[in-house]
Amino acid sequence: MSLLTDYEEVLFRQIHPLQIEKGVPHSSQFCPNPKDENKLSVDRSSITSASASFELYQRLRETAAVYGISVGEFGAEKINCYSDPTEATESSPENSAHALADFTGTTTTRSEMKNLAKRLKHLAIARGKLHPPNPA
Amino acid sequence: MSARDKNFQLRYVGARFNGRRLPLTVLADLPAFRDLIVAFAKDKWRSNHADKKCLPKGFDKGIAFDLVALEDGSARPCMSWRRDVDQAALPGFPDELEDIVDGSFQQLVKLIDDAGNKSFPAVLSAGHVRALNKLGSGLGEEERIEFLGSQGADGNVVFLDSYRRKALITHVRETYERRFDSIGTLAGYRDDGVVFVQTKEHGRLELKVDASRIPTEFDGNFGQSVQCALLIELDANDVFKRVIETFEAEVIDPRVSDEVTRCLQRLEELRNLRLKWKDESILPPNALALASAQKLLSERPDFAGLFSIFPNSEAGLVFEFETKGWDYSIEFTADGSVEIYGVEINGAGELEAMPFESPDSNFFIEFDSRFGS
Repeated sequence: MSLLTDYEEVLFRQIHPLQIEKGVPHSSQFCPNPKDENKLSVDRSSITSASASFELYQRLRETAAVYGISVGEFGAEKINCYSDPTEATESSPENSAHALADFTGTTTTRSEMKNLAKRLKHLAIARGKLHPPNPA
Repeated sequence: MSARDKNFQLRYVGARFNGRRLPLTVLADLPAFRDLIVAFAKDKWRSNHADKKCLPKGFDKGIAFDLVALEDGSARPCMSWRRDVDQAALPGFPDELEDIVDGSFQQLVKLIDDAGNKSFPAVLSAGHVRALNKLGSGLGEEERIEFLGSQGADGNVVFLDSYRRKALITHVRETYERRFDSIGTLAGYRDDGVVFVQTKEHGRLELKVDASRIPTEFDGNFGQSVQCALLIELDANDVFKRVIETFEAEVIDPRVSDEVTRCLQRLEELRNLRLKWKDESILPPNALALASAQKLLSERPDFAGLFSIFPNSEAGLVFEFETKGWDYSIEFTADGSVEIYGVEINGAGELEAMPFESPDSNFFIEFDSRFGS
């Protein structure tokens, strides 16, 4: 794993269909779950596109939309991001664009983590949905 | 109060009673408590005077209680029996009546304590059952009424909760009564003051309202949401029998109604995930979280349009919404508790999680002060 240093690089985050309502994603999608060991899975825009990331993810799980947060935006919240390419296994395809946003040490309570997720959500919303495109 | 007055004190235990709060919806407990004392007192007097066919004139009036204080901590209403004044209605039995009332209180707490130990009387008079059906009818699942000064078989103060209440009443009767708050759909009405409301919990209910309200409030509103607060009769298996009393039945504004319906449908969608869920990062909400969420919608329907509703990873629910420049969440956890947290959207303001044991009166006070107009 290597630290991502291009602050402009956008990292793609998949949103579960049940975690988006009225066209707005739930803030919980922008922070790790308790069992995720403080690491949020994302894909790198320097290696893949939002649509390719979406399609690859759909092979394993459900997703309704792709939103993005840049390495710099994560960094402003003291969240370091690392490349974490994954190899193909029997149950999942290779993903050379995979990366992790590491929330370790950013907050001391779950409550603070939830509010941090809200701030990240607003950054992602400001950038807009990256895939699929809205119907004309 | 004079030196001869006799006091009885109850203690309401539960989050909504904290800070010396006694919701108006439970005030009916106080006359019910008195009625239960009187029911025992009548039995005792009849037992002491087997040669007399009737109670002495003024017996009922002679046992009148006043609410004289609401003491600190969890709400503790203190009632006083004004012996000097009220026994004017019942001359000739002052000492005997005092003994009878003392004994009646002891019998009352023994009845309830025994119910907690699964020991029930074979019969109870209609007067006892009527009073028991009122006493504690508004208690929630985690609430109880303690009878201060009493001591049960386990050495602790005797208390009445919804479990003991239901067990006691349904042991001697087929049914019991309890308060029911919900939002249903207007399914019909009659001009003589009857409205039919379809509810999720108990099906189609028939509510009596003032006939003058039919043309002005219900006519033309078929299918609209109706907010109801009722006293209903259930059997021992909690199967609905009938509506006893309608405290409230209000048609909700159609725009609000549409949003309430949307929220309720969303909750239903999440509830039904139970059978098909496969994503480990989210658990379908459990019954306690759903009940808490429904209570918020039921009690503050005007806010339904703001809410986006999501499941979480711990069998709870989150209502996320923006208002007054803030992004808030109200999270209903799997143990029935609630918390509010949020961030300022274009600023550094942050509200750390404020926990509440349940969507209780304290929660709604905070909700109204933070989100109300």
